[in-house]
Amino acid sequence: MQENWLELQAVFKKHASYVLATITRTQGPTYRKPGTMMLISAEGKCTGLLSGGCLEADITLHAQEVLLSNQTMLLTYDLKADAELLWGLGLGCDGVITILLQPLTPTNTHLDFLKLLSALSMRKKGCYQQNITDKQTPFARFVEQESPCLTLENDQISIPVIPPLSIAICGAGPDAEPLVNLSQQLGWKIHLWDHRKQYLAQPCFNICHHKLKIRAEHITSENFEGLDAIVIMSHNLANDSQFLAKSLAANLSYIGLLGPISRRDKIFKEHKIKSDDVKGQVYGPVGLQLGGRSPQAIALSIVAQVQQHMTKASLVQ
Amino acid sequence: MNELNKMYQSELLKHHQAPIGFNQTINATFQAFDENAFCGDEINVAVKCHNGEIEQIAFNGDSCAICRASASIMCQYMQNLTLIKANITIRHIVKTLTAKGDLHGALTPLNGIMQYPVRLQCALLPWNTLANIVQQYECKIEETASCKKIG
Repeated sequence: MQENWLELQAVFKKHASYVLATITRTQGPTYRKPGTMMLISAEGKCTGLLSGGCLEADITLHAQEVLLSNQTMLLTYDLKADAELLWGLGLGCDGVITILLQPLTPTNTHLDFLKLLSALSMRKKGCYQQNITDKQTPFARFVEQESPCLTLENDQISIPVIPPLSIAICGAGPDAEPLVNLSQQLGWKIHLWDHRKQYLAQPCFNICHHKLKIRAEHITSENFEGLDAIVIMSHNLANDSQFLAKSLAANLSYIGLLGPISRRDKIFKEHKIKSDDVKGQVYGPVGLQLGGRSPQAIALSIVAQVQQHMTKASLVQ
Repeated sequence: MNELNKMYQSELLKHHQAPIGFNQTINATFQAFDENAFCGDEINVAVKCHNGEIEQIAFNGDSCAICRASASIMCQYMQNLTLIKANITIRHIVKTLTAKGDLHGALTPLNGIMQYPVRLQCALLPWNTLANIVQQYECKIEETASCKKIG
């Protein structure tokens, strides 16, 4: 499970000190799994989530000690049966969770965490390797890797670092607003394309990372660089047709096409596309069949499908 | 979890499951209420005093397991202490738990709180509530002394 890297990038300041909390081991059911990280500022503000309950408040108090001692700390929350009844820390899932706390300070060059965030900005993948120790000098480093995966051996955890999903939404109509909001909540990098300046300028789209005023016919292969997914929803048949053809030419992993099957088939016919050839890449009508009809429900079905598609793609990799 | 913490946990659980002084009706001389908004604990502590000594002590309210266990230990420990001695004890407990020191005797299970500092406020709530009662007692003594002087 990946962190909300964009959120971490937004809060991280190079002159400040933090504590990085990482789940290194779990037993039994737990809300989050090994490799999950949370950043705690010197003021006690948490970015990320390690549990679904109030574990964060307790970890934050321990984090203050870590900053003072400048040493690692290993915490184990054993919240099975009686323990959870007594301590009620909110894990509520009958599991055991071990958390490593490491101080990230300008003096220890933030244990390469800034390097990690910089690599993500350049859409580079890698691994964040941390030594799992208690009351020791902290150690961690970021190593660039093409196919990072989670490993846990010899008291070291190696956590895959993969750039956040980058999605283009073609069409800045009112139905794009819930899609933009949900995408932002999921920590995705949002590119919004439309040829209408006034539509793009709406305040609700200020959370997009990149807004591009462009006509479908002027889109080039360069515009697709770094994109993982695209949702075509301009509500204009000719425009959608061009967006689809160019997205296929760019070989995007996920291409969602809003509109009914008959409309999709018109576009397919125009470009001589056979459904079977683009199965698992082009989704039209876009979205999972969740049963809702409102723009919000449709947006939910779209992000759910994108999430499902990208998870499957990463598992195949 | 180490053996010591397991032992503390086991003792705290016993107090939580069979709390001393919980929902006990007494003819209270002093009462105090306090709450912990963070955890949602609410506690009423009642004390029956005779000649400045705690003759009976009880508590009630909705609280988490740690707060209840701590209140139970308090009722067990404070019985028959003078309110002046109780005040000294409360200060010692608050100071020791906050500084992560060691408590002894019947108070030992409270050392288990230190592994989860977020629960410290829950454990201290009954003791702080009792401290309010001690204040009430001290005010009453002062009032009585003033009345005697005026009289």
